[in-house]
Amino acid sequence: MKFLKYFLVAALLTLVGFVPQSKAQLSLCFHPSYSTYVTQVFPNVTYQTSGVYSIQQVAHIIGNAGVNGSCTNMTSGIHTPSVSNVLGSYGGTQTGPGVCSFCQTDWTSITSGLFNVSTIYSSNVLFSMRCSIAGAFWSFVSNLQWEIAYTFAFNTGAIRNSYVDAAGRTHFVYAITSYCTTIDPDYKPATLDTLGIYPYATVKYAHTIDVCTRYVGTHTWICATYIPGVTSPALTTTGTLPVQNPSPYCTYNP
Amino acid sequence: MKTRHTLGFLLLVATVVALAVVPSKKVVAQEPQTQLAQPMDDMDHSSAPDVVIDGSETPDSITDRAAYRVFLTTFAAGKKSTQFALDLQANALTPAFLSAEDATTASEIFSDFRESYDALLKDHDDVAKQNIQPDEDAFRNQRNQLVSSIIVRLNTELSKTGAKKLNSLIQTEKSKMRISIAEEGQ
Repeated sequence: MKFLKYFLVAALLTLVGFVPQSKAQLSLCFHPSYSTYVTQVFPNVTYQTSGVYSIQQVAHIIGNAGVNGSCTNMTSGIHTPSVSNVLGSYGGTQTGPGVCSFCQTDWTSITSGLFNVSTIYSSNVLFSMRCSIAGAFWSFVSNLQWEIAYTFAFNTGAIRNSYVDAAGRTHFVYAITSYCTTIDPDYKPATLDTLGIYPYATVKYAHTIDVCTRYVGTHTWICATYIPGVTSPALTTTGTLPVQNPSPYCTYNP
Repeated sequence: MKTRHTLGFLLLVATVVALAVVPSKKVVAQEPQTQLAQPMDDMDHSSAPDVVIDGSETPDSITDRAAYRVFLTTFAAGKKSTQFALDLQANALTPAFLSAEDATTASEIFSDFRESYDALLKDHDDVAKQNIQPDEDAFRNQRNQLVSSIIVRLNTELSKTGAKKLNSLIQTEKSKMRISIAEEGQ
């Protein structure tokens, strides 16, 4: 009789959670394998004299978690992505579509806003995955800073390349250099692609802009088109050159 | 009498240990409540750790195939895509400054990728929805072969300058990616 009493007490203690559950049992229910990508893009980029531009921040997550064979009670769970996609004072938490536990998550979140040129903005993007049974099981924070960099570029007149586009128009790719002498701009486009109807004599300078990013902890600005041979989004301008190196003409955020 | 009490106590200890070790559906089901009550940073992930390549630290460690794949899955729009998706694709390609002809060709190749990729994804998830673990290695191999074939097409069907510009753009974007080794596959 006493054996039965001891047994019932033990069973009761276990059921009410008196005995701590081994973390090791839970630790291998999922094998989360997610890749992420956070970038900013210009919608319909054109030079704005106001210095204010529209930017889209794109946050993408792809992958799945699966369920370990010993956690069969988890297989009916729904896995749902969410992302805190904040861009300056814009955006917030967005939740993507839930998928079955073995299904692939492939979801993009987009936040849009208006931003000033040459200003550093912080962007903390928090990705997370939640299982309808197990709760939140994976997260990743992407901390980065970004800016809309502007460089007033001078056309050197040296033609690097020329080609004819589908419409039969001739393009010349000119070598350009930043029109700044005392500072090193964050964005340094090397070439300018312009229609052949504009000879060097009239294309004196260009307004070049780009979204540049740097991760917290590093000090190098990464600009999408800061690669020799790739032309930046730009507005070519003719006429008399302004006084060289006016500081507002070159973004410099060390 | 004392012996019987000792035996009873030992039985109690053994039972408690045994019930704690055997997987318990009830206890596992309690875990979400614990997780939900915790801040994200402190949560028990209930998952095995993943190995990743952080492009902000070592962009060169990300393969071209992985970078093209993530770029394509993010931005490639298909024939059935919304105007918003088509515009987003165009915006993403703006920094490459492709000629009109190259932009048209790239859009066609991106559209083909979207169609093939969505079909692969549907096949994978059709199996998964039956509560069956799909063959992930086979899926990733097929997907990676698709991406490789798309890269070949971009390099051969775009002008030499256009392919170089697009490749330069994607190389730069590597620094904004975080690639899971397991998710990428071999």
